[in-house]
Amino acid sequence: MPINMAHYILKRIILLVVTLLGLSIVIFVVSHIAPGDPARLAAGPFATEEMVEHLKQEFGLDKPLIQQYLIFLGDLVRGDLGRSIRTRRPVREDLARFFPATLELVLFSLGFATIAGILLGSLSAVHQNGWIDHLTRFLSISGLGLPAFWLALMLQLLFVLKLDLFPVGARIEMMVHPPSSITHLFLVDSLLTGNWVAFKSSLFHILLPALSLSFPALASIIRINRADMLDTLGKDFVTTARAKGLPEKVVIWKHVLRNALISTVTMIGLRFGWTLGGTILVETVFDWPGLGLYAVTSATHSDFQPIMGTALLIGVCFTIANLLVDLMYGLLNPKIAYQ
Amino acid sequence: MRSLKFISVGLALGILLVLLVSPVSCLAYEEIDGEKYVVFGARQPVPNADPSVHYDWSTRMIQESVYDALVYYVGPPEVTLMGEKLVPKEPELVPWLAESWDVSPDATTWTFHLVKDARFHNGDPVTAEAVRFSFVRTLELKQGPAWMFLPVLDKEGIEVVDDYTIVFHLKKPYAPFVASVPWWYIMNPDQVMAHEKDGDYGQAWLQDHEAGSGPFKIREWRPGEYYWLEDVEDYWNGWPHPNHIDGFIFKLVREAATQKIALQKGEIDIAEGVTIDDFELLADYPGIYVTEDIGRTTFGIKMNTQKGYTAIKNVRKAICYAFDYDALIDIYSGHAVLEDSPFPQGLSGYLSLADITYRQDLDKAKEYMKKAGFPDGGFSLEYVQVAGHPEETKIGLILKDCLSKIGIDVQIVPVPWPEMCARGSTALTSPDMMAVYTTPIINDPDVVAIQYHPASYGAYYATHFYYDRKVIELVDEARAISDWEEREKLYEQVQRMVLEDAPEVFGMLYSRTWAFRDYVKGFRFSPVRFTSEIDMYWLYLEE
Repeated sequence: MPINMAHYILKRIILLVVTLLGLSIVIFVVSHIAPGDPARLAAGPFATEEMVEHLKQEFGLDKPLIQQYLIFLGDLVRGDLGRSIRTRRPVREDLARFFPATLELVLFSLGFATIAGILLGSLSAVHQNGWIDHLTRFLSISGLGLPAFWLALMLQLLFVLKLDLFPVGARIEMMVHPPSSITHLFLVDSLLTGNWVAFKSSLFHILLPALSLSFPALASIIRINRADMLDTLGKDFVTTARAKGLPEKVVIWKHVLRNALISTVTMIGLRFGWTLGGTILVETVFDWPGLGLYAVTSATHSDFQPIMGTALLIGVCFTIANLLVDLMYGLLNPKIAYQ
Repeated sequence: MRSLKFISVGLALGILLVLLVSPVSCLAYEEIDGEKYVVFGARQPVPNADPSVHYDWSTRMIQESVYDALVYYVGPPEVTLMGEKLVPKEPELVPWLAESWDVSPDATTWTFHLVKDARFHNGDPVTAEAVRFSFVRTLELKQGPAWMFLPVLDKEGIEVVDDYTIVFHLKKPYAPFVASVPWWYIMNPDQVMAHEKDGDYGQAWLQDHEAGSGPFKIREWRPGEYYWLEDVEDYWNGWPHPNHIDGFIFKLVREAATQKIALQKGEIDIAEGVTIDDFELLADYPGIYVTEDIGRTTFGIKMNTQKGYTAIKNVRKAICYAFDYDALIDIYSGHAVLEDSPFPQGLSGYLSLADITYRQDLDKAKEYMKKAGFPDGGFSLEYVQVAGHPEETKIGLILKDCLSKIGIDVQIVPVPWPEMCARGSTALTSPDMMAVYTTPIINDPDVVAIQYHPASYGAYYATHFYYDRKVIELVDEARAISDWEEREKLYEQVQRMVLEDAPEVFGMLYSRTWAFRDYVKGFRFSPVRFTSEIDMYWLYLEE
C-alpha cells in the first residue's frame, strides 16, 4: 500500500472517531430533550411514582444529563452500549442479533441495484432513444416515484398471494435451522457451510424485500450512470479510441464505463447509508428481523440506549462506506491522489 | 456489447429459474414429528417474558401460557360469530392454583388454600413458599404488575401458614385484591434463584426463559421473529379437549395487510391484527372464520378540568352534547357500541345511564355555552391525538365539525405517544382535549373508578385531572369493604356524579376481532384480557 494512501486511511480513521464523538453528543442531546419519560413508558401505564423512580435509579436516569452522557461515553469505550429500559436486554446483544439481518438485506439489494443499474444505465446510454432507453427511463422514473412501502405490498400481493411463489415474510422459514454462524449473513453462511436447504430458504425470503428496497437505488444508479455514460461517450478520447480502431466493446467497457463510474460509485456510497437507515418500511411489510424495526420500536418508547447504539452503528457504517468510495476513486482514476 | 446483453439475459433467466423451480408450498399448521403447532400472527413482539418485570398484551399472552396464578379469569364460554347481536359479558373468576379463598369482612386479610397436585415444569410442587417468593419478587423489583399491590401489601404481610395455605395481610382494606391476583404469576423459586446473576433476582434469565407451571413451556425464543411454545402433556390441571394443540408459534407479522395474506395462504392460523375492511373480507373467505366480541377498551376524549375553557363544567357539557356519537360507530363500520356510563358495559358494577347520558343535541349544547358565558363560542381548543392513528384523526375531524356549530374552533394536534404522555402528566401541560383508549385489566369497578381519583394523576388515562371530594370519598370507601352489594351502591353514585361532571366525552367500546383458519376451534373470548390476547389453553384442532 502506498504511504500516501496509508496516511490517508489513518487520517480518515481518526476523523471517524471524532465524527462518532460528535454524533454521540447530537444523538444523546436530541433523544434526551425529546418529550416523553422513558422510565414512565417502560414502567407501564398504571405504574406508581415509586416504581417510576425506582426504574430511573436503576438506569441512572435520575442523574444530571452531563453525568449520564459521561457514563454512556465511559461504557462505550469499554464496548458496553448499555441496556434497553424496555426489554432490559443489553443493546450490544440486540445489535448483534438484528444488524446482520439488515446488513444482508442492504448488501443484497444494493448489490442487485448496482449490477442491474450499471448494466441498464450503460445499455440505455449506448442505445440512446432506442426502446431499451425508453424502457429503462420509465423504470428509473418509476423507481424514484414509487414509495417502497407500496411497492412492497404490491409485490407481496402478486408474488405471494396470487402466484404463491414466495413466503409472506421473515428471514428464513420457521422450521429451517439457520446456518452455522460465520459471518451472520444467512446467504453467505449457508453457502460456506454447504447448507443448501437454508440457502434456498434464505434466498426465497430475501428476494422480495430486497427487490422492494433496491428500487429507489436502482433508479438513481441507472439515471446517473446513463447521464455520465452519455457525457463520456461525447468526449474526445472516445473518438480517438474509436479512430484507433479499438473494438466497440473495449471502448465501452474499458474506457467509457470506467470513466463514467466515478459519479456512480459516489451514488452507491450515499445510497448505502440511505438504504441502511431506511429499511424500516420494508422490514415492517416483510417482517424482516432487522435494525430498522428495532430502532423505530425503541424510538416510539423513548428507549435511549438502543436509539444511540443504532445511530452510532449506522454512523460507523456510513463513514466506512464513504471511505471505501473514496478509495475506489483511486482505482478508477489513478490521477486522483490521496493526501 | 454482446457480453452486456448476455449478462443481462443470464441474470434474468437465473432469477426466473429459481422462481420456477421451487414454489413455496401453502402450509396449514406446522407439523413436526406428529406434533401440531398452531401459528399465531402477532403485530407486537414480546419484549421481556419475566412476569415480575413486564406486561402488555403480547407478553401476557406468553406469560399466561407458561405460568399459573392462584385464580383465573375464564369466559364467557360461547363464541359470538359476526352478525349476531353483540352482548357485553362479564368474565368469571375461578379457582386455579388456589382451590378456594377467604376474605375478612374489612377486606384486609386474604387466605388462599392451594391445590396439592400442581407441579412446575421441572416436577417441583407448587407450594405456598413459591407463591410467597413470587409475590415478594414482584414487590421488591417494583416493576410490571407491582403497581397493583405496592400501596396495600408489604412482603412482611405475606404469611406462609403451611405448604398449601398462604395469607396476605394487607396494610389497608382493598376489596379488588382477588380480582388482580390472576395477573400475579407463580414462579419456581429454585429455578429462578439458580439463575441469579449479580443479585438480579434471575431477571436476565427470565427475560427469555420460564419457571412456571402453566400448560405450555418455551421451546425456542427468537426475539424479533417468533416465540415457540410446546404443550405440557401431563399438565397438572388437565386439558379441556382431547385434541388440544401441541403448542403454538407466536410469529411476528407486523403489518395488518401482511397478516391477512399470511392467513389466506395458511402461513398463519390465527390473525389478531386484521383491519375492519379486511375483517369483512375474511368473513367470507373459504377456510377462514372470524370472531367479534365487545371488549373493555373504551375510547374517550379527556378534557382538562383544571385549566382553560374546559375547566368550566358548562363548556364541557356543551362539548358532550355537540359531539356526534353515531359517527364513532360509523368510523368502526358498526363494530362498536356507545358507552352510556363512565364504566364500560360488561364490567362488574356497571350501571346503564342511557336515559341521562350525553347524545348529540345542538340546542342543549348551545344552551350550556350560553350558561358558560360564551353564547357564540369564539375560542379555540386543542385536540391532541397519537400521530398516525387514523381512527383518532377521523374522530378529531368529526369533533372539529361538531364544535364549529357552537362556535368552538378545534386544533387537531397529532404527537408521538411519548410526547402525549409527557403532556398529559401535569394539569398545567395537559391539553384541552386528548384522545385516549383505556383498557381496564381486572374485573372490578375500582380499576375504572380510580381514574377519577387523584391517585391516577400523571397517568395518560387521567389527563382530565378530575377532582371531586365526594367522588374521592366514595372510591376510597368502596375499596375498603368486601361486601359486594354495599360496594355496588357506592359505584352507582360514582358513575352518576362523574357523568354529571363530564370530565370527558364518553365514547365507545370497539369490537375485538380475530380471524382463524377453520380447523382451529375452542376460542374463548374474555373481555378482561388485553386487546389482542388469546388464551391458547382452550384451543384444539378439528380432526
